[in-house]
Amino acid sequence: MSRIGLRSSHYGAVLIALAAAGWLTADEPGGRSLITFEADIAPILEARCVKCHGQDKTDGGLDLRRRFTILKGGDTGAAIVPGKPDESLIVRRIERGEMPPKDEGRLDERQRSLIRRWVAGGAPLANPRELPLDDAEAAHRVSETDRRFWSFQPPVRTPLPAVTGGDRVRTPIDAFLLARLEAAGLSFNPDASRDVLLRRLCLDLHGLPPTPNDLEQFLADDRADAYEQLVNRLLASPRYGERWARHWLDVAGYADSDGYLAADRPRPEAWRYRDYVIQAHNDDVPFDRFVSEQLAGDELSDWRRADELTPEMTRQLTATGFLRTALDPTYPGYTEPNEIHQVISDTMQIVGTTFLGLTIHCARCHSHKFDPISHRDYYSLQAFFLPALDPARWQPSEVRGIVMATDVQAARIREHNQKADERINYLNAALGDLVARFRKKRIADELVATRGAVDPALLEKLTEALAQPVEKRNAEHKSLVARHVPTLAVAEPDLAARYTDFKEEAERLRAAVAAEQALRRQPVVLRGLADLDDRPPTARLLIRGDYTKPGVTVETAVPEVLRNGDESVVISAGYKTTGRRLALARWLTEPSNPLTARVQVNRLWAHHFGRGLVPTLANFGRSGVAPSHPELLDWLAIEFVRSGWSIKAMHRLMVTSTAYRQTSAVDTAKLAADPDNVLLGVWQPRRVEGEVLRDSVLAVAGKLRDRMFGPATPVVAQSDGSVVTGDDDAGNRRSIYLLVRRSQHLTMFDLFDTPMMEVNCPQRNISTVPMQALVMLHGPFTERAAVALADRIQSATPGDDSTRIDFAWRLMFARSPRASETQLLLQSLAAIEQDHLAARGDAATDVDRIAARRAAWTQIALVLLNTNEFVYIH
Amino acid sequence: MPRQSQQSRYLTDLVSRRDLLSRSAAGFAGIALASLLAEDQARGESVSEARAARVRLAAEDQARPEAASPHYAPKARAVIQLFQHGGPSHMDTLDPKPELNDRNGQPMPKYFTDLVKLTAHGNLLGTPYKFRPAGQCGVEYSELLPHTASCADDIAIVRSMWTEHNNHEQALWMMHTGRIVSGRPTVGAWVSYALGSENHNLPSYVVLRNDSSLPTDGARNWSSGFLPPRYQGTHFRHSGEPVLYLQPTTPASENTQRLRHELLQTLNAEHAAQHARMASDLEARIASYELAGRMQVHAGAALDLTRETQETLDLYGVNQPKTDSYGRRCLMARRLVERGVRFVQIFVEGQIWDTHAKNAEGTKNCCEQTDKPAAALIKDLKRRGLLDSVLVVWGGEFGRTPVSQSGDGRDHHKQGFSLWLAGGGIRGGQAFGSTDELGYHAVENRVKIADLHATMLHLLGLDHRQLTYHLHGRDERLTDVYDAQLLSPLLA
Repeated sequence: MSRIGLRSSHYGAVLIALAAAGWLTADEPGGRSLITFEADIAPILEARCVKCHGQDKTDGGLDLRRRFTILKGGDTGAAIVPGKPDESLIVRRIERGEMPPKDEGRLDERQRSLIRRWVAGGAPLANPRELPLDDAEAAHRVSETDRRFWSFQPPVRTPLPAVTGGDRVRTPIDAFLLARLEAAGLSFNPDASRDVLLRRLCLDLHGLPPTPNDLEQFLADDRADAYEQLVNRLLASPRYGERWARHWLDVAGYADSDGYLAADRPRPEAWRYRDYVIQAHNDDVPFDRFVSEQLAGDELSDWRRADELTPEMTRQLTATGFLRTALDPTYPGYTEPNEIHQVISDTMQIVGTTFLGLTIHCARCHSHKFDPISHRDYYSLQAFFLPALDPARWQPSEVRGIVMATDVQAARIREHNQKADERINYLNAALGDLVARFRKKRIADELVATRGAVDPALLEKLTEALAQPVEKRNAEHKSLVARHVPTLAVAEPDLAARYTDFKEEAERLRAAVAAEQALRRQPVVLRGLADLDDRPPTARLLIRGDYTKPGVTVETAVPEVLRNGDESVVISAGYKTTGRRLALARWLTEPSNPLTARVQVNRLWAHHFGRGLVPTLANFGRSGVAPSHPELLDWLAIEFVRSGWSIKAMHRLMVTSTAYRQTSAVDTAKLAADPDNVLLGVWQPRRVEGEVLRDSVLAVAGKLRDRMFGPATPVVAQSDGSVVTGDDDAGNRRSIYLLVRRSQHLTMFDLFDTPMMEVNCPQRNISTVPMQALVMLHGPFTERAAVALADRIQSATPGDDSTRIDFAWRLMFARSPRASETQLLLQSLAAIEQDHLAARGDAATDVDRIAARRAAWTQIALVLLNTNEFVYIH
Repeated sequence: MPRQSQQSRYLTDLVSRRDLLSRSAAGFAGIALASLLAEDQARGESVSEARAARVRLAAEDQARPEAASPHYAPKARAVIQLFQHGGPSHMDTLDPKPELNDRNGQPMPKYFTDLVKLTAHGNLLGTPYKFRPAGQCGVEYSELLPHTASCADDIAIVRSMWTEHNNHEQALWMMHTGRIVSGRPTVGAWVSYALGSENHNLPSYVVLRNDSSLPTDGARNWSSGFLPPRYQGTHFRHSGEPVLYLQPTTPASENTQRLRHELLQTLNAEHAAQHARMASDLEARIASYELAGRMQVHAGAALDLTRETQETLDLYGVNQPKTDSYGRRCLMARRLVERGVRFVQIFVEGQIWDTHAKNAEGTKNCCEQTDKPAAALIKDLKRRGLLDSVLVVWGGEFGRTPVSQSGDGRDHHKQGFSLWLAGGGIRGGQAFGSTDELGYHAVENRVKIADLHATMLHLLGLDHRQLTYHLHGRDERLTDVYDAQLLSPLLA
């Protein structure tokens, strides 16, 4: 027992017994009880020895990465003899100070002792078996088969297939789809009616239902291209950006708070990035620029050396907020390495799923299990981001950001503030003098009042004593005060209360200080990302993803399987920046990149058609699902680039297709032949998202405010556990403007599958739970909306209830009610009204009747807000 | 009431006209709230009837596509987790350490500090509380837990737990989701996903937290993580209405609510007939309104403690100053599992066990709040014949240090701590594993969280290796990559 340094027989005996029984493991950092190779020895060797013995080279034929390689030893034989430290080569050479070489510094005493005790104790392993030498540390070999995988090949343009039902082909999309449908003996459904199409388009492109006015206009528009005109009008409206930015913010993982820890610190400037995304959508910023701005907006211009920031520069810098969405628990005073590396890893995951549609994050700890993405690829890709996210020079979440000023502007601001500070100091000094003068006067007055005369020496001493704050007064001060002026108060308010001239002068000075303070200029610190400087840190592979185990040095490189021959990404440094992210953005947006365009058009497609051509939107790898229509996907990707990467052009192409315009009606033959509607012979109906539901409720109730942009509307956590917004102008803004506090998820969003953003959300779930029904039927939000909606219905149309029902139907469902529905509504209205009046009995007055009517309409309105028709798009 | 029959006739006409009857027979069963009320009154509250109802509902579950079956015959059909947030001090409650008391006030012994690097802490801190053998088995319990000790023969203490993080958040995630990262499903969500509900009137996973305080990190303690949101815990409150928005914010008469419900479901039925393409989605939503309606009626009744006898209320310490809040929730938990809820998670008020200062007083206070109700739950389940099929798990996210913090407190401690299990296939009357003589490291039969999780699943008839959810190309599971071992010695 003494061999392993344990002196308590009880403790030691237990340990030995347990070690023998295989119960002790070392997977508990800080809590290890037995010296084992994995827990104690490997970290020392990896930090100090493996560089020469095992990683890039094996000097003397010795590899110290595993116990079995140590036992095998090098040119001079086995490196250890278990149980016999004095006969073990590495123990001897280390203890004699021969290894590591002198200029590398000796191992410290603790390390030397650990190694000796480990060998003495039989050189035990913590785990029953050792891992083989990780091949990930060597370059991963990408095979020809890997390269041939469909998503790693550039898109190919195939000729449009021939179809029989040519009259149904409005766009090339239709040709590709119809060919497959016809092959299965099917065809498209007929075009949906105009009211259905209007509602579909409005909810899809704006996330809002059409107004009765929209409906009337569109039904009356008899131009041949009325539909195309409608699409153009909708795409030109600012409401479009507010809807489609939301899709992008899901992918980006946008949130207004740091998350993770319970404090969930707020990100007060994050909304600027949200506004950027909205505006970029409305402006139809070409997607290649959109990508470049978000990855490298700070490297697109030489903004630091410009005279002043142009709106364009500001926009581009703001775009880098994309790289700042990840959960980030670091704050000044808390920069734990594991948290830092998690922030980097989450950022990598967001980048990988957003642009490459690949689960590259799987290769953080080991080479990807399914895709040809090596462990090294992961860290080579990470190297593009390290100059901005350098663990060694880590800036905590709230500090990391871009000060929105050019060097010249920053200098000017410094100079300006310096002058202001000088004036402030001067004014504060003047204020201090004033207080001192009047304090002395006050003491003198007091002495005159209590003793009839002033002793100048005593006055000086008392003035000095009272000038000190109470806690800083020494014994002499205290006794002086207690003896002569025990109750005298000489703080500023006391002086102001007594001397009018003091009060006026002090107020004047304070106002002047405040005015100067207001003149100080504080540039916005944007929640963006820029390189720390133009000197990139050394990037290393982390063995098993463990930051305490840095492995080989890696260079910036895109994943090998995506490299085009030998040419790698060309990086040129800029002023105070390495240019790495810009190089990555250029590579991503090269037309030959096989993934960027495909991933994005597939995303657009999924939102329009309810299912991606590749259904796994963020996984174009082998564990994803292969495209249902590969030729169509390629055609769209090529067309996307050809159109100048215009997202709106893609929308137009998709929503003007026959595939989009067909009805959602079922057809038994189709249901049998294509139950999942993969062939798209039916427009796939779907439920609206939580945000669209909330916005639609506000819209039909006439409560929606359309103020765009700016700081987020706060959310409030109630004592009952619900999270709500206020019922005011701010609270009734569109959902995209509500604060995304990770720990305070709006109750309605929480229930309707709006993502919580642990990382990002490339694809949403749809759930149906009874709590949704309860919040929609009983919650204050819909109850309030129902009252407003009822009033709107009652006041909007004079005349009888049938007319009102008609209005309600057009408002809610963009169609007129069927006769059966009107009849049902009239009956229900009367029944509920009756129920309300019944409580009054025979004494019901006209006032009661009006109230009962209003109550009945409110209940009807609540029902309409809860109908399936209102929450589904057909 | 002619109105009513008119409406019903209309519905019948509509439904037959749309040839909907066959398809919606299940979806629209008992469409009127009134009939639900009647049903509830007729059913009464007796245990045998509740059991009969469960059998019937379980049979219905078999027919539901989403209701999975266990991998093998389960011992337990429900779990009640008595979660002791903050980290109870094991040396003062479940893990007697005479040597710690002998060395009270001394520094950590050198043989120990040679092995373990201690951060800045004080000297060893003994416990002022006596441990005494309890029950037939003679397992020792602290005098702070007299009621729990009286159930010793039903309880298996694990004294050799260890976890991976010393912060509350990460340790909470570890205990609830199996990893020290956020965003994964909790045990309750996994169970809910695997087994569905036994009762169509109540959610399968219910959380009973103190109404006035959320645990650290709030709702993430019952999150469904990457599982679909339907598997997340539903929070029932123990005062006022048990479920958020269970009743209308603005009161409406029963009759008005019924009329409203009928109108809604009629409109939805007609709509579903027009849109058969998404029939299953639409019917799921229609059914969710039915369940909401049933919950409106039944959740109140399920949690209505006025239906309990005075003797039972006293047993749990309801209406007694220290134990009222926790006692109510333990009793509610019994009522819920009786009605087929799968997983009930009870939280203490905030993280009261977090005794950084005045550990002795703080721990005593926690025990006074929780000891009696927890024991009452075991006794009550047992006398109702439910203990065999309900697993009760008591414990926090970590333990506390044997050395003092700021003189009289104890800090967070991950290397060793205790918890206990009872019922649901657990062999009581034993203490499994041990820490070293000072209560620092779990040394004998060390139990990691994944072992605990695998064992909980096992008792529910689930193999932790087979219970998976496919995400981003990987089969995720509660025990993740851990080599989880079943705690066989604990099994009956």
